[in-house]
Amino acid sequence: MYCARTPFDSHNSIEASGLVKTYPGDVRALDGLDLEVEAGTVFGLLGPNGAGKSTTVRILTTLSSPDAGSARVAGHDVLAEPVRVRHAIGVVGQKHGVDFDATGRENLVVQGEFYGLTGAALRRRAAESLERFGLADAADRLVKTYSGGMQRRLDVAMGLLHRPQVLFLDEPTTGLDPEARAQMWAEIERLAREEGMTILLTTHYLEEADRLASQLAIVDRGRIVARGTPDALKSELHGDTIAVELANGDGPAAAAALERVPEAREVALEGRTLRARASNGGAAVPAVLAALEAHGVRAAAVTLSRPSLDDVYLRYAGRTWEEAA
Amino acid sequence: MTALRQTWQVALRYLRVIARQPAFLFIALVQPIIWLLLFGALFKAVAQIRGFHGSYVDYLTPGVVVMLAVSSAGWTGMGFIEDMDRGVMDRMLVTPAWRGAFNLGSVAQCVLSVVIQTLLIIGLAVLLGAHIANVPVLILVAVLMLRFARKVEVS
Repeated sequence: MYCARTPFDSHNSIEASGLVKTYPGDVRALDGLDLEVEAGTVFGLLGPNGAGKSTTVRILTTLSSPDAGSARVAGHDVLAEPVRVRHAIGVVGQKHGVDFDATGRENLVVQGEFYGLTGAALRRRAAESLERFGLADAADRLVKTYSGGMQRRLDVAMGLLHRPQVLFLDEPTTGLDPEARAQMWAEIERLAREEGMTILLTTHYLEEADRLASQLAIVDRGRIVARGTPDALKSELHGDTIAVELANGDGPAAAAALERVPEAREVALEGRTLRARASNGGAAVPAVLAALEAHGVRAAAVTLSRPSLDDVYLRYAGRTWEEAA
Repeated sequence: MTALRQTWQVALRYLRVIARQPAFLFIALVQPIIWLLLFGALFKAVAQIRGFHGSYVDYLTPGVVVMLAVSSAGWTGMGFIEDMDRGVMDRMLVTPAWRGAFNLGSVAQCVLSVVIQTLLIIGLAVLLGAHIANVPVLILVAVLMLRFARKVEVS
């Protein structure tokens, strides 16, 4: 039958090497991207819009072919054996792939037929799916009457109907309200934990990657610039961030004063906010404030934070998240 | 067999869209009827020109059928564009379904719609007094025109 659970012994569910993709107008979307995703993990591909995340997903899901490089998904080469790859993967795209003029149940049945499922088995599976995603009551309503969260749940239900080994989620929570987002996160966590599915998640939300992914790669300008667990990436930054909001005085002079404080490293001025990094933030704050005080600068607010993925991104891509996005 | 089923599923998708938009269905049926009634009455006098044999409705009916087939074929591509915009096309293409099903399914839906419209037009024309010599041939011609127009559109 078509329900694909082909045995594959490789440790990695997804392997890509040297992917290059150029779009007309000399846009180099991918510039030698390498990727390995271990089976059974949630892997986060993090980067701002236009970094190359979606292009990577399109190549791995057989929608697009790379100009150079190769990729294997679930043990099959995406270029040589696209049909085998398609059997093994589920995809929830960035755009809704649902048919608005059909009911939820009809959408699932069409999807199932495309995977070779038929008859009573398909009807049963569609019903189970609707039940599981809380759509049983709305099953026979047209999708255009669904709320955004319901449409997204149907989207996921369609991607999972044939029980794929590898699931691609391309920005699954973009445009969702906070409640629907929390539901989606819980569902993704459940899939990884209970079904041992390999999930490749792309996102431009740092908190989403931080919460869901056990492994992360940061993509910038078509390349992977950093990879590791979220914690490992953050701890590479060594220390805390001190942010001082200046109440008065000369910003650049205050920054210069801060440079002379031995505890503070990587001093940067952004508008009226001075940032510095310190191995032990709590101990460094008095010295920082004293140095500012000596120059007649008062602080309106001081915040101390553990490194976030935002800081990780800043370090590897050389710009802050907001600048890039 | 699977390929056939998948083709039918694609056709069904488009047919459902049409069936669930009564206004659209209404326009699709009424437009050719208006052509037939309006132009049939407007140019009735053409039949009186020397060298013209038969009634004007005899002459007009096949023209309306062909026009219908060509314009319907032209519009089938619109469904594709909408599918591409909405991400439905990507969703279908990542499945292992037979690629031809997406194309053939859309053509099948169009053929079915045009055959139904053609039968209605011919029925009306007969009521208006047209002499139709060979209905099966007329339908065949319409279907062939449709396929041709579709090819032109795709290429």
